[in-house]
Amino acid sequence: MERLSQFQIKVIFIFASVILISLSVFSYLRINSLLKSSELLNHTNIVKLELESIFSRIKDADSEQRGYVLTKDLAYINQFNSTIREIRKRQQRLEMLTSDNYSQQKNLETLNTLIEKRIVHMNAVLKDVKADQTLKIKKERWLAARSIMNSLRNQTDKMVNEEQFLMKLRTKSLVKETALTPLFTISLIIGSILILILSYYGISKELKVSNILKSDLEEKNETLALMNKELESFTYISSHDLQEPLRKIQTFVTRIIDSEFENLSPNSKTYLVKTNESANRMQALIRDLLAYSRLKTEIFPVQITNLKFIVEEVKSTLEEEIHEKNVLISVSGEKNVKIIVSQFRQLLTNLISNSIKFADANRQLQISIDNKLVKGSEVGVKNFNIDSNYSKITVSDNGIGFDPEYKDRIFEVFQRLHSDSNYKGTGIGLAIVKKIVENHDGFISADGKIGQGATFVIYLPV
Amino acid sequence: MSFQAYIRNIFLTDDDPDDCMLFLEALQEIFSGEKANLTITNDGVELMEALKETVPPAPEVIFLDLNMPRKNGFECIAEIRNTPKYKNIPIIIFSTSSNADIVDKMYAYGANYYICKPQSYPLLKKTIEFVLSFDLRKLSQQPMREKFVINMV
Repeated sequence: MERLSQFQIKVIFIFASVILISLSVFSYLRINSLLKSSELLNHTNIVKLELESIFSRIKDADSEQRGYVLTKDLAYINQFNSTIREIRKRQQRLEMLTSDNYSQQKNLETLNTLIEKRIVHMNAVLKDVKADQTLKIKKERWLAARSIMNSLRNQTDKMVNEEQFLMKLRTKSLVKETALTPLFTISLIIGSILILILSYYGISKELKVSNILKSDLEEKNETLALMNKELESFTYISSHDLQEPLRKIQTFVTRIIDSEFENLSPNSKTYLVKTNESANRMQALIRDLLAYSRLKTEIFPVQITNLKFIVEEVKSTLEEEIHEKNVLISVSGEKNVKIIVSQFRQLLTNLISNSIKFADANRQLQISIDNKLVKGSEVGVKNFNIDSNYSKITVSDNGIGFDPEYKDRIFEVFQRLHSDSNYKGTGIGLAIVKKIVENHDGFISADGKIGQGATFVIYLPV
Repeated sequence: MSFQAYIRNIFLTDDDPDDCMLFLEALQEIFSGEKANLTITNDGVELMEALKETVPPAPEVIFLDLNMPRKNGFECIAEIRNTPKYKNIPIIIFSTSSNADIVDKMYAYGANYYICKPQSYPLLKKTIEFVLSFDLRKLSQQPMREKFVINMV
């Protein structure tokens, strides 16, 4: 099954979002131009209406003027004046409406001149009739008025036509502009839907695979945890239950040694002593194995502790041996370490008794313990955080040392570099040390030189 | 070695016959010539029955194993401490286990001392002798936690 990479998923989603964004931009533009064309249409209609209404007002004024001339009724004069005011208002509105169009403004100027001319003419007729009630208006005057009215009609038509023409021109270019948009929009929508469907299938496939893997992993983890638990309880129970018969052997053997020893033949004495020694050794093995298997199960909180105090406690635990071999132990450097106290005490006890065990008989044993803060970047351990600080605790001695070839193997359970007779031990002490360091999320390394001493370096997170 | 003049009255409850035998032998050697009563029961049920029959007088001390069939040491100590008639009897735990959790638990249950069964006969003898050398008043009080476990070298 081909699997989508994180990168591919990213690309698909970026692609889909780009398409969606362009879709929305295009739709916005299209809606905008539609709005614009309808606005234009509206504008044209308003201008048209205004022009028509000015023209019809002028006609109104004309008929009111004639009404006065015929009847001499002053009501016509009042009506006439208000119509003229109305005309002025409409003229101003037209002025505003055509302010964005130079040619229509010119046309409007001509129209205004004609309107002025007509109004002046009508006013003159009215004035004359007011002055002389019996006056008969000559035919020429009526004809002149008519000719002005015709010009006015023509000018109004001209303006309406021009406005309509302009609108046609504008909508044409807009239509041209937006003609492609629907097609483009639809294809974009289809494209993005396709991409979404494809990516849905890809991702759901991916999810299915990762779910299968996950449940697989969970199952394996469960089995592993179960196995671990079984193993732990096996080590614990076996070493615990093994102690019981062993203790009996030891007790009975010592019972014989205690009370019947003198009755035994020299050979039997030797065998019995050897039996006792073996039983004691086995006991030590079981005890250490038990301690090792217990380490993992116990969880203690870490706390900031003075390293000197821990060293003092260990010194008093090992007092007898330290006194016997005249060991010099020195502590230097930083005061505090962040540790699981009981476990770290065990660690130091193991390291120091290890040093004492492998002391050089020709010189006084000196053990120096140093603690300093270092940056993760200086340590060079894989899992360490480069920017964090770590405590670097160095425990070094001037004992018999060891071949650096074995510096990794010495931490393995039951690994011993010396044969039984020379140096007694179970081979678990350093394995416990390593496990404790691991419980602290730390790192330990060892180095040595035959005849010159051994050095253990422990890094612990601060 | 001199002990109090009255007849010692000691209880031991342990399901392991070898341990009972060794305990008895050690006790015989400790009290060589003197008279002492040792009542041995093999599980908690037997112990409670024996207490019911003999108290009063209450035994001066009970040595109690933990892992036993029928009724184990935990149940026994809880029952004894909850029974007014028995609750002041000193109890010394006598177990193979040296697990710190169990030791803490027994301290909380009100045991007086804790002995981890020694690995050698001389040590066993020494330990029993040491405990029996306490006078009754000292034995019936619970010591500080650090002195709870008796570890002879």
